[in-house]
Amino acid sequence: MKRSKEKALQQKEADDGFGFFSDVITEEMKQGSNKFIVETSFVPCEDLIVGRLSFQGMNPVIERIMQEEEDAKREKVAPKVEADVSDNEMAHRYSTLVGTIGRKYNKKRGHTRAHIHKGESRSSAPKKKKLKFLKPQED
Amino acid sequence: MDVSVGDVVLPGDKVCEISEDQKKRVILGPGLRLNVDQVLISKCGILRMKNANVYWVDSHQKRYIPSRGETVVGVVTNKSGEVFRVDIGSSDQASLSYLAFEGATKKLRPDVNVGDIVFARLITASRDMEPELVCVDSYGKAGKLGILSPEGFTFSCSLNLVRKILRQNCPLLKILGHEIPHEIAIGMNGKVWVKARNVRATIALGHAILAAEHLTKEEIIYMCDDIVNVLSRMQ
Repeated sequence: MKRSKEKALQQKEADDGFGFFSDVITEEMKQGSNKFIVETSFVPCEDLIVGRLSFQGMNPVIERIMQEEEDAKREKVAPKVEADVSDNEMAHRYSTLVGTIGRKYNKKRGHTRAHIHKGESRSSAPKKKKLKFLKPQED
Repeated sequence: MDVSVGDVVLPGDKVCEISEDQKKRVILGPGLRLNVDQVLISKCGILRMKNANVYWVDSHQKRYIPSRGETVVGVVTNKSGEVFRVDIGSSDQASLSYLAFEGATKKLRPDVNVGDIVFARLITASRDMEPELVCVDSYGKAGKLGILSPEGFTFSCSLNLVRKILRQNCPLLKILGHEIPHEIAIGMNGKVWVKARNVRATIALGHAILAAEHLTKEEIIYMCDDIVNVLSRMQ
C-alpha cells in the first residue's frame, strides 16, 4: 500500500516537473541529435586574423606580438629538424666505442674469459715463469 | 527550396546536403539555423563551406550582432561606477568592467575617459543580455587589446568588408603596411581605427580600405599602388 502510494507520488512529481519545464524543453531537445555545432562568429569559419596590426615601428609592442605569432606559426609548419650532433657523426663515434661500451654489458666472469681469450690469441705474449725459491747465498 | 554550397540563398531555404549526411559532425556558422535536424537558411547571401563540415552564409551586413570571442573597436560613452558603457554598434551598448584591464585593481583604476576608443574582446554575447567586453586575455595580459591612442582616426564600414580584409590571403593590409608606416585596429563590428605618421597618410589608408569593398585581389593590388604613388608625389 505504502509502496504504491510512493510510486504514485513520484509519478505525479515527474508529471508536474514535465509540465513546469514544458515551455523550455523544445521539440529539438526531445528529438534532435547532437551532430550539429552552432557557431555564431565568422572568425573561426573564415580563419580571420585579429585586426590589430602595426607596420614599420609604429607600435613596437604590437609588432613584437605579431612577430612572435609568425614565428610560432612557422615553427608549427616546419618542426625543428636540426640536431646538435648529426646522425653520421653519432654513428662514427659509436663505432669507436663499441668495445668500451660492450664491456659494460659483460658479466664479470664473461669479462675475464674475454681477457683469457684475448691472451691466447696473442701467442707472442711472454708466459709467466713459475716462481722458485731462491736460496740465499752464504758468502 | 533546396540549396547547395555556392548557391545564392534566401531565408527559409533548406540545405538537405547538410542534414542528410548522418556520419560527421557539422559546424553551422552564421546564417544557418537548426530546426529539428533540418538546416534552414536565415540570411541572404552565398552558402559557403570549408573543410567539408563547416558551413556559413557569406552575406552583406551593416548591423553588428555581437558574438562571443570576437574583437571589436568601440567608443566609451559613459562612465558610471564600476563599468564603462561602450558603443560597439550593436543594438545594446556593451559593458566594460574597470577591472578588465591589465594591471588594474580596485585601488588602481585604469585611465579611461568618455570618448576614448578601445579595442576589446567580447566575453559574453547573448540575445537577452547586454554584451560584455574585456581588455585582457585569460592570463590577465593585455596583448593586442586596450585603449587606442586618441591621435588615430575612426571610421565605420560594412561587416563583410572587415571580413574581406581580415582573411589570411587578402593582400590589402600587407601592401599598405609595406608602403605606409601605420597602426590599425579593425573590429569585427565594422569600426576601423587607423593611425599613421601624418594626416595625408591616414586619409589615404582610410580611402584604400573603403575602396576595397567591391574589388578583386588583383584590383586591390593596383589600387594600393595608385594610392601609394599619389601619396609619394604629394610629399
